[in-house]
Amino acid sequence: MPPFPYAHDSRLSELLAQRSTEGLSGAEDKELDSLFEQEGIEDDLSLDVAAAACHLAFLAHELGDEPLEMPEAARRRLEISGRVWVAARASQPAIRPSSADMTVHPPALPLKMTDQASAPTKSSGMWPWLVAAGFALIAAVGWFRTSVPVNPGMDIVSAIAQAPDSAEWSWNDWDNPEVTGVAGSVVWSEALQCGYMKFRGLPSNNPASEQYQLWIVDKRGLSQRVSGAIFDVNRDGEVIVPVKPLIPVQDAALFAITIEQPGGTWVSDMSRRVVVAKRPS
Amino acid sequence: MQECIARFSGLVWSLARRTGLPDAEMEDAVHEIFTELWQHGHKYDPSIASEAAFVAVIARRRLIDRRRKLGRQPLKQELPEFLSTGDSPTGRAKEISEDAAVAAMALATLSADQQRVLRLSVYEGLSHELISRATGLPLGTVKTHARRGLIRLREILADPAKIASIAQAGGSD
Repeated sequence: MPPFPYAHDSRLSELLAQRSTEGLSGAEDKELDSLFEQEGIEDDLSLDVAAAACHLAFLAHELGDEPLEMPEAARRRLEISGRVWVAARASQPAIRPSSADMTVHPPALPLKMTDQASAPTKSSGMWPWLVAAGFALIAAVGWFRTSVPVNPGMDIVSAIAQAPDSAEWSWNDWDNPEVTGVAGSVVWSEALQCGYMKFRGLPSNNPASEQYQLWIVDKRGLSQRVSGAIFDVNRDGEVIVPVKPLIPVQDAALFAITIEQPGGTWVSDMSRRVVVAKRPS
Repeated sequence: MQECIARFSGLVWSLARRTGLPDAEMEDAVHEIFTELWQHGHKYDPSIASEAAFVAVIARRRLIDRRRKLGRQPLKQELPEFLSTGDSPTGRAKEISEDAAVAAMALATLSADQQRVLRLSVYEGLSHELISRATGLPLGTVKTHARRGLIRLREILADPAKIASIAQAGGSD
């Protein structure tokens, strides 16, 4: 690795050190981007590596060779989450738009990115694996821009159902709904941060003119609702739509379906209402 | 996936526990960290860094994000207990893993103030501002110690010859 290439007391060095110790605000992150641009580089994560090594040294000093053990319950939940992830990945190639009964397009971008914006979003020639590995924003956004299968395999459904905190929320008519007679439910696990929706009676839509969009309202309130999925329906009968919001949901209180423009919307006026599911009491 | 959990759940959990996040937040963060590992673990390059460092970089970034979301409150109450610099990681270097031992040797070459600031910042998760209040050091000095300490660590860790010379000298550069 070449020597640290920036003046040690430069603003760029200050921001790199701050990013690797206490993180950056959105404004500071933009400033860092600007400085990278001026330097003609994409990113430099070497101080993050130094901070990680430092952390490991202190951790090992405190704990010796044996790190703490993850509690069994937490580990079980993590394993379930892993099975969901593996199953979701395994089922993706099997879905082809031409043959799918319905496709779902998770939101292209999170509605609120305040903290995630501090994550580096650029590649680095020096540390390509770190960029690829450590900073999920590009990858997550890329993943979310890819259509994922609907009517997911039963392994996903059963894995979510195994989550200790999974609960089923029934769809109900919303005030002044544009569509009536829709039945079904949402199965959601806060621990796994994923779930799936079941619908019966949800009419087919024309994706060229409108799409269905899922909104999740959590403890942050209606004004910061999270977009959970954008999807199409083109068949009768029961359809299942996976839910995997990009933004972590905190204490979900309500799921709601609206009809929006193609590609969904960042800020819905909620005028074209379909169904809503409130947390079971 | 299960092998990844088996190998690194303890490390990630240990890193997460240090943050002082509420249990639910901490577990959410752990899920995020492992999802990133599952997504990108295949890109790990052992010629660049150890697996533990790879995992720790990912974990730290996620945990810092979480902490900022929660308003960066003080993470521990017993502040005076860990303000001491007398208990250097080098003391147990032989007992700990090779990665951490190398980092500990590199840390030992830093000034006492740099070590203290890095411990409070990197390990205890305190903001620079809180470190300034707790130690009485001006905020600018705290930032300087953190920055120069990390740059120094980076330079040592990137130079095997320097590490070897430190080891031969018994932990001092």
